[in-house]
Formats: sequence, structure tokens, C-alpha cells
Amino acid sequence: MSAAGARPARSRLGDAATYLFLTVTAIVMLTPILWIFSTSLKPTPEILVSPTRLLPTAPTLGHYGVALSGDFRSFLVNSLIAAGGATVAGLLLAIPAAFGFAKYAYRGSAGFLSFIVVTRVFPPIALALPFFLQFRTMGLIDTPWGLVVAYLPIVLPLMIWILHGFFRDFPDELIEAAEIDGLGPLATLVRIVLPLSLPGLGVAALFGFLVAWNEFVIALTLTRTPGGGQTLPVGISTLITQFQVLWGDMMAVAAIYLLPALAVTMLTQRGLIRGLMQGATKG
Amino acid sequence: MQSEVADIPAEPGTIPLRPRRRGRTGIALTTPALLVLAAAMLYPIGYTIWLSFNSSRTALSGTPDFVWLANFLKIAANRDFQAALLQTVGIVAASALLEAILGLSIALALHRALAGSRIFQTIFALPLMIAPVVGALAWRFVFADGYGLIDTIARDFGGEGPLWFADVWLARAAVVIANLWLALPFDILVLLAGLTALPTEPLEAARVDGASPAQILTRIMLPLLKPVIAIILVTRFADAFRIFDVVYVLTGSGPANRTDVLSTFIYRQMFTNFDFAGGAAASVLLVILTSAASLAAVLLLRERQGRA
Amino acid sequence: MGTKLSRRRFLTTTAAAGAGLYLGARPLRYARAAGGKITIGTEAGSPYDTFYKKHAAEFTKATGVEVTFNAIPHDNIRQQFVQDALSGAGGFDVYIADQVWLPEFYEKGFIADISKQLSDADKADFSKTAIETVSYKGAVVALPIMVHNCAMYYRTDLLKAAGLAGPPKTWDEYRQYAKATTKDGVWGTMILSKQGIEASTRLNSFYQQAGADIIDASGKPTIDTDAGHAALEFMTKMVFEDKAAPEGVLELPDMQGAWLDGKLALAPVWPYLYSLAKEPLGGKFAIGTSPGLKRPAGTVYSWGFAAAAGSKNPEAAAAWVKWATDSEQLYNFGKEWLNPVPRKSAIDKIGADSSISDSDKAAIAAFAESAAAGTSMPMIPQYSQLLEILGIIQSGVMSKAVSIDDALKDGQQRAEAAMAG
Repeated sequence: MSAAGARPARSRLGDAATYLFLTVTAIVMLTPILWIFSTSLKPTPEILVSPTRLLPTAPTLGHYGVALSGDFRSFLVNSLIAAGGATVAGLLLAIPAAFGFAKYAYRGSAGFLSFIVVTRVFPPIALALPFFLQFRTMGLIDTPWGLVVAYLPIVLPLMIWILHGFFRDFPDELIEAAEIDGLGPLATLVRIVLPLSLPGLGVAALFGFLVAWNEFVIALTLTRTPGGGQTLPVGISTLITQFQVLWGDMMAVAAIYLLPALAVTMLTQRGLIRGLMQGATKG
Repeated sequence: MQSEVADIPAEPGTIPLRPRRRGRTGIALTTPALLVLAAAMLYPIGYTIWLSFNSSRTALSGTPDFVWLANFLKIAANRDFQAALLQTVGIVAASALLEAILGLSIALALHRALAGSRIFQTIFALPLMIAPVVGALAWRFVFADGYGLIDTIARDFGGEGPLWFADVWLARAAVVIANLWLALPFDILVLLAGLTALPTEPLEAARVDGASPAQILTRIMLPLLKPVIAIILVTRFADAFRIFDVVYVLTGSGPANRTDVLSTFIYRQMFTNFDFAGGAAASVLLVILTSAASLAAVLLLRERQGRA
Repeated sequence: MGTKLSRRRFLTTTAAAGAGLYLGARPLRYARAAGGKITIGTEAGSPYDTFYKKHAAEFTKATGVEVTFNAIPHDNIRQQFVQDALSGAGGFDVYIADQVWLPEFYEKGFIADISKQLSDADKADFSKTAIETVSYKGAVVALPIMVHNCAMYYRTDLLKAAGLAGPPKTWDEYRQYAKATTKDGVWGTMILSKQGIEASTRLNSFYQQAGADIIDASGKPTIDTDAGHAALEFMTKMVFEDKAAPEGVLELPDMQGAWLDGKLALAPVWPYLYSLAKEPLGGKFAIGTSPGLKRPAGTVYSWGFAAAAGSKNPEAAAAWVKWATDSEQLYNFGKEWLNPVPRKSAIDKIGADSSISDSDKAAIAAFAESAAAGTSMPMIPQYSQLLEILGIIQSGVMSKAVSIDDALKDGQQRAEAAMAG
């Protein structure tokens, strides 16, 4: 599928240039992350020295001890429930909706799609108070399941918009063939469209998850305690106290927080890699 | 977006369902999501819009106090709003340009599928897995005046790093760079997905015809990538217009409000100045602006796309 | 229309469905038993949070009221309290209150007047400044736990090596001492300039040290004044002329880091730093009152407990505020956190406690002295906005984006608009 068909000799230079480019950009991308990991391993007095040194001289696991303590485990679990639940529920709703908007337009559907996209643009902080009032009435304050419900409107527009873009140019002939074969729209979607749309599905799932995973304002507004529904982004900001930031602990928590997100990334981007591999061997 | 309706092909050989059934299927497919969104968002959005037409007293007391467009006019005339608006547009434009260049370059590089691409791909996705406030703090340490990472590296070479935050334009550059770091993963991964999903025939045909790689890229691949580019533009516009953490952590909107953006402005209006109605009006203006930019982008892309 | 689902029918059906869903959801009573329970909003990770969580059982034993704590990240406390008050949810009965919020919260009806909780004996026991920091328009709107200002931490060893004995008593001495100790990788002092509340409070301190304040007795803003000019000139000269403080936009973590790393000779900082500095810099530093031009000492701010006006259990809330700031609690708080506390009886008890080291006692006494020498922040509801304006002024001036004259003129305009609006 890729343009890397037959490889002429000169592309070895192209390969080398590509590697160089990727390496340089990757190093720049990695720098803040390296700082985060290195800070998580530094004993506190080493952290605020000037000039900033990248590597710790006396690494310690103390901060990770704090990061794995009681409250933070609760934060992590709540985050997993809220983000995981919202992603799954989101996909279940977004996939048919995007398919409908892309291939089965009806009068006003363009308007609805626009409405969906526009809801994303409202600054969360402006919506926080009415969200709070609404959720209070529904009794969903301070539970991770309440957050699943709260995150749906945040996750859905993104997923629908991404999937719509990928479904739009899906070849109509394949759909037509499926319908001639007697498959209904949902079956067509599941059996024909989805398997061939894995790249788009992958990014929709990944970014839907990440948006919920990193969300702060709504979580702060709708939850109260670690034992209730508070998520890790809220937990992390409790490490910014009035006078000092508990850098080491914060970075350790951030490092741990990265792991589930990394797992989801590898999971959802597998489809992409398979496509890449196909392209490479197809040539 | 209205052209969506005109897109329904009338040519033969397309979806054989009669328009009536096609429409109904569409409704059935889209209604669940729409209901959920409506139930969740109608009240908050409605409340915000309603508040923007009332006075701030309404937020406190709950009793309506219609002032029609007064809030909008007051906000639009507010010097700080204008500055925040200009600065936000500047950041969005600069980011869009850099994201386009870098995002596409990196996606194409990954698309070559060289050995080890998977590792690179994961590295490029990493910034999104860090909580945004932590990422912003990390960049603070990279740029910190006089002792940040950049400064340390510069000293190793015998020089001195610039005082990023003590200079208006350098501070803005720092915000753009930190924001770019958070934005690129989305661009790269979505573009990569788009590249992977490209049909091979047009590309093969072009290569057989002797087209150069540059020609293949610009004449064939990019046009085919338009839907994906549309995804990115609309999403990134919305995100860029709403950036908050990076500004708050890196510069506090400084120096002297020179890096203030719409979100930080709105936050201040609401929680420092207690001007909830003004904040609501500013939010509505923000939405209108972003939607206009997104619509323009989508239409521009749509116009030049022929029927493939 | 036939069987075709017209757009209008579709929309009305959806709207009806939505409304039904919304209204029909049985509102689960957000169960908070009235009477016998209170919720206290505190700052996550703060000394108050840790301390009062530990001691709350004593309150419950004494009054039978159950206490729940709700810890909120520092940068979001104000926002959360405002949202809670606006929504009438009564989610908080007691707020941990920054003095800055007290006037505006009281004006907006978010917190209650608890003058009744302050007996005459209490009034005599709290320092005068402490009572000032919680009084507004004749009402007592909170009771203080901690009343403090930035004291001058100074390196006795570095000053001695420069032939000086600290602390500096005037601005001129401050500049002189800072210049003399800037060498060998050490900076004399640091001027904070990141646009934000911390640096703004320091500018307010400079105004007061210059003999005035940011508003005058009649409540008119006095930003563009001699005091303002003196303050900004002092700050810029220290950095750009004397080169006794580093250039660049710096914030409190930077000052803390440099101090703890031993790279700062004179550091005006809050009392919290003392516990952190004991180990790395033990025996090498002392604490004094910040120097001034016309009068010394930094602006005094307090943290205390306020009773939420929307509380469903106002008696219990007021009882907590009184209990949490009584002599016993403040004595323990001061002892555990090595902070100056605003009650004379508590300070006396600390002084008499033999389990506290002499150096710690001296530190607490020095902080108390520094606070006693200072003036409270102006108690006006627009104070948050004025802090915002001070932030614009000093970040613009210290980054040379704006001249001192322009910054002060602009600041004066903004302040007048804020006080009027």
C-alpha cells in the first residue's frame, strides 16, 4: 500500500536521510520525557539545582514509592474506569454514527455533524459550572461511572469526526456489493467496512482514550475524593502545593501514568503497523 | 458542510438503496450518538449562551437580567480580549504551519516503513501520554531563564542560552514550541493512518508513468489525503484555540499579558474578575471564530477536490 | 408528509425525548445528613490539610460533629469554592480561606460573619494584625491559622565572608549586601518576575516598604505614585545595574531551589522554607525582617477558616472555625510546622515547650516578629484584580517589554477601572 515499491539503489541514501531526520526529531520529542523520568529518579535536593543536569547522580526509587501509595492507586483505577469506559462506549456510539453521516446522509445530517464538531470547541472551563449543576441533579458526582457519562460528550465528537473522515472515502462499490449480497447496513459496517478501516479506527480509539485520560477540568469539577471518582490528572495537580511543587513525586506519578496510555497506543496502532508491513512486502 | 448533502451521488452503480431508505438508515445510525450528545451538552451549552445574553448578576442569583448584546460589545471592546484574540490567532497560525511541515515530513518518513519505524512511531506518540500540566512543566525546565536545559547545553558549547521568558517574542516562541510538542503526535499518527489507507493503484500508475517522488506527493498523495487533512485541521483548530496549560505554566500569560490566549483570558474573566457573563460571551465568540476557521478550511479543501 | 420522517417531527421527537430523559432521571438525593456532619474544603498537600485531618477526631469527640475533608489542588481552590457557592450546592461547610478572597467572598455572600465566635479574650489573644486580616466592614469573616509575610533569610557565613553582618535594614543596605555577596556562582538575591500572584504580592510589599500602598485610605488606587516608581526602580536596579540578582523571568520554585542549593545569599521567602532549609543549610543562615525604604517588612497575608454562607449546618461550621483556631490547636500547628501562629498564648506555649529546639524557637520568634512589623494587604473585594494588575506591571518592567512610566500609567488606569466596575 505504501509508495515504497521497488527500491532503486539511490533510495539507500534516502533511507539514511530518513533515519537521520527521524532520529533528530525523535531526540527533540524525547527530551522533555527524559527530563521527566530522570527527575522522578532524583532525590529532591538534586532536582532544583542550577544549572539543570539531565541525569541523576544518586538515583532513588523513593518517589515511586509515594506514587504507588494508597491515594494514587485510587486515582489510577478511577482514570482507567473513566477513560476506558468512555472509549468503549464512545466507539459503540461513534462508529455507527460516523458511518451514517458518511454514507447515509439525510436532510439536516450535515447540520447535525456540524453541531457535533462545534461542541468540541467550547472551552471546558466555561461549561464546568452547568455540567456540575446537571450532574448534581443526576446524582453522578464523585464516581468514576459519572465521569464515563461526562466524558462521552467529550470523546464522541472527536471519534465521530475522525471516523467520518476515514469512512467518507471508503469505496462505495464495496458497500454496494455487500448490500447486493443481502447484508444490512450494520452487518456491512462490521463485516466489510471496519476490517478495512483499521488505521482510522486505531486513531479514533487512541485519541478518544487519550482525551479522556488527560482530561482535567471536568474531572476536577465533578469529583471530590480519591476514594470517589478523582482521576490521576487531578491527583497530579495536588502535588502543586501553595509554596512548592513536589517535583520528584509528580514526575514519578506521571511516569507511571504513561504506562496504560502506552499500552493503549501499542494496541490501537497495531493495525497501522500491519498496514505498513503490508506496504513494505507488497512492493 | 452543506455540500455534504450534495455529495450523495446520483450516478449509477452506487449505493442501491433508495434515497428514502438511505436517509432512514442514516437517522437510525446517527440518532444514538446524537441523543447522548444532546442530553449531555444541550444544557451546558444552552446555559452558557443564555448567560452571555444576561448580566453577571444572573450567574450569582439565577434571575434573568437581559442585556442583549452588551456583554459581546463590552468584551469585543476590551483591550485584553483583543490582545488575547490576536495572540491566539498568531499561535494557531504558527502552529498550523509548523505542524503541516513537520507532521507531514515525519509521517512520510515513518511511512517508508524502514526497520525500527515502530519504535519511532511510539516515541512520536509519547507526548500525548504525559499529563498536559506535567508536559508543560517539563518544557518550563527546558526553557528556564538562566538555568534551563537549553541554557545548560549552550554553556557546554561555551555560550549562553537566551532568556526565553524575559523576551516577548521568545516567550511566544516557547509557547508555540511546547504546544507543537503536544500537537504533533495527533498530526503524525492521523496522517500516517491516512497514508496507510491510500489506494495503491494511482500511486503505482504514476510511478509507472515516470512521475518523480515530489510529483507523486503533491499531485496524487496530498489530494487523496484531503479528508485526513480536514480531520486534522478542524481538530487542531479547536485544540489550538483552547490552549491553556502551556500558557498558564510557562508564562502565566506574561510578560505583561503578551502571551495571553483566549482560554486564559476567559478563565480570568470568570474567576478573578467574577465576570461570568463576559466569560460566557467570550466563549461564544471563541466558538464562532473557531467554527468559522474550521469551516473555511474544510470548504477550501472541498473546493479543489475533484470527483475521484 | 406520509411515512417519511420529516425534519420537524424528528427534531420535536428528539427534543421531547431529551427533556424526558433529563427530567425523568430521579435525582438521587446527594445524601448529606444535615446536622452532625460538615465538609471542609482544604488545599491538597498543604500543612493545614495534613494537620487538621490528623486532629479532626478531637473535634468530633468534643462536639459530636463528623468531619469530612475535601482536598483540592492549590491552583483550583478558589475556582471550586466559587462554583460551589454559585451552585448553592452546599458542598462545603467550611473553606480554607486565603485572606485575598475574604472581602470578595463576603461581598458576594459566599461566607458568613462569625463575629460571635470571637470572644473578647480571643480578641486580646490574637495579634492586632491577625484580626485585621480577617475583618471586613465590621464583620469577622474568618479566623486565622497562619499570619505571615516574607521574612529575609540570609546566609550568615556568606555575609561574614564579605565583612558584613546581616540582616540588611534598608533598601540601600539590601542592594549593597547583595552586590557584595554576588560571586563565585552565588547570587546576592533574586527578584521574582513571572506574571502571577506570587510576584505580585512582592510588588505589594515593595509599595508598602516605600511608605505607601496600592490604594490609599479612601480606597482610591495609588499605583502610579512615587512609591510605585521607587519600588520598580529598586527592582530593576538590583537586577540590571547592580547585577546582584539574576536576569530572566523567575518564580518561587527558582528562588527556593537556588536558596536550598546554597546559591543565594539573601532570600525574602515565607516561613515554610525554614523546615526545608534546616538540613542542607543548618547553622549557616538566620532570619530577619525584610528591609524597607520608609518602613520594613513584607505585606502580611493570612490563611484561615471561613464558614460557608450556604452551609446546611452553620452552627457546626462556626464551631469548627472556632475550635480549629483555638490556643491548643494553634500551639500544636505552630510546633509541628514551625510556623508563626497568630495567638500570643500559642507562641508562649511554644516558647515554653522544651521539646522544641532553641534554633527552631528562634526561627518561629523571628517569623512572628517579621509578621508583627508588617501591614496587612488592603482588604478590598477587588484585591485579586489588583494583584493581576501588579503582575502585568512587574512582568512587563522586569522583562523590559514596558517602561516603568508606561507600566505604572497603564496599571493606574486598569486599577481605576477595576475599582469602579
